[in-house]
Amino acid sequence: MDLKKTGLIVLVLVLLLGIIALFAVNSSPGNNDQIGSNTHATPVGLTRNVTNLDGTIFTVPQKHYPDRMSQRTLL
Amino acid sequence: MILGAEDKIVMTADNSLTLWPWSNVVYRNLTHIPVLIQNAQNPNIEQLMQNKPDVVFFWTIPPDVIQKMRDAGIAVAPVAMHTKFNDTPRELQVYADVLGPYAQAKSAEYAQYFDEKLQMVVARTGSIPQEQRPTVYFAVRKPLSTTGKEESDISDMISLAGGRSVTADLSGPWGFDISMEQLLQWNPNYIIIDHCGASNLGSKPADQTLAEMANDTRFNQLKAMKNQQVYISPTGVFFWDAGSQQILQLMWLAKILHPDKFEDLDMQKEVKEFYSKFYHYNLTDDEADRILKLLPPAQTVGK
Repeated sequence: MDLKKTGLIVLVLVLLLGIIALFAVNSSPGNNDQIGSNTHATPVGLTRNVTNLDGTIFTVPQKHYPDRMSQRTLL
Repeated sequence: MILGAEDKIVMTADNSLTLWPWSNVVYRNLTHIPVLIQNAQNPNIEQLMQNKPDVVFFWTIPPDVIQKMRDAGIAVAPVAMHTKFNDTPRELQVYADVLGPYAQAKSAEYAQYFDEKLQMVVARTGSIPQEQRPTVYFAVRKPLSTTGKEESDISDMISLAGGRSVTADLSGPWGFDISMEQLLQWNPNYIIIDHCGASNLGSKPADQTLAEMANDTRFNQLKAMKNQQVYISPTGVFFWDAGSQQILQLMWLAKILHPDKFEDLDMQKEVKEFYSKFYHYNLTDDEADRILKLLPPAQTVGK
C-alpha cells in the first residue's frame, strides 16, 4: 500500500515537473519567437537585439503587435 | 519574399513601382499594399505609423530619417552595408535575424546557393594572372557616375569575375560624378552601366544612354566603345549591383569578361532557376530574356 502511495506521489511530481518545464520553454524569449507568427503569447513590448554587419546593434520587437493578424487580413 | 515573409509586408516603397517594375509582377502582394510616399528621402512618419509595422527596413541614408522613425517609437532595421562581395549572404542573414527562425532557415538556403555559384565562378577565374585580366569600369545611373570603395563591393565582384576594376582605389559616395578626362585616362576594356532607366535618380533609359555615348566623340575614343564592349546591367526585382541578385550579376559579368571559360553558363537558365528557387515565380523564357535585356514586364508596356 505504501509502495503504491509512493509511486503515485512520484508520478504526480514527474507530471508537475513536466508541466513546469513545458511552461518554461514556451515562456522563454528564445528562437521560436518570430515576427508575424502567432504561435504563443509573448508580452507586448518585449524586444531583442540584432547585430548588423558593421557590428552595430539595433533593437526589434520580439513579436508582432496583437492586432497584426487582423490588419493583415484586411490587406 | 526571399525569406518567406512576403505576407508580413504591410507597406512598400513608392520607388518599387517605377525603378524595378518586375517586383510588382514577381511579388504579387506588393500592388495591393499601401505605398510610402517619398520613401527614400522624406518618408511620411505618420503614414508609416498608421500601418503599424513591427519593424521597418530602411536605408542608412539620409541618417536623420532612421532617427526620426526611432523617435516616433518605430523599430528600424538599417539596411546592412558591406564592401565585400562574400558578405552578401550575411546581409540577408541580418534581415533573417530580425524576422525569426523560418527566415533564418531560408537565409541558410540562400547562403548555400550563393557559395555554390561563387565557387563555380572563382574556380574558373581565380587563377587568371592580373596582367591578363581585362579592365572594367562600372558606372551607376549614367556613364560618368560611379561609386567609391567605401560604399560598394563592386570592385570586389569585378575581381571575382576575373576582371580589374579601374575604380578599386577610388574614394567617394554612391553615384558620384567623375570627369570624362578621368574615364579617358582609365580607358577600360569594358564598361558596365547599372541603374539605367531609374529616372528619379537622374538616369536615362538604356537605349538613350547608349545612343548618346555613340554620338559623343569623346566616348568613341575609349577601347570599350571601339570594341563594342559596353553593357547595360539587368534589373529584375531590384538593381543587380546590390542585394541577393548580385550573385546573378557576378555570373553574368564573368561570362561577359571570359566567354571562353563560361560557354556552358546559360544566364537565361540561371535567372529562371533563381526566381523559381527563391521567389517561387516561374519565369517564362521570354520573361527571363526581358530581365536580361533590362526590359519591363510585357504586360506593363504601353501602360
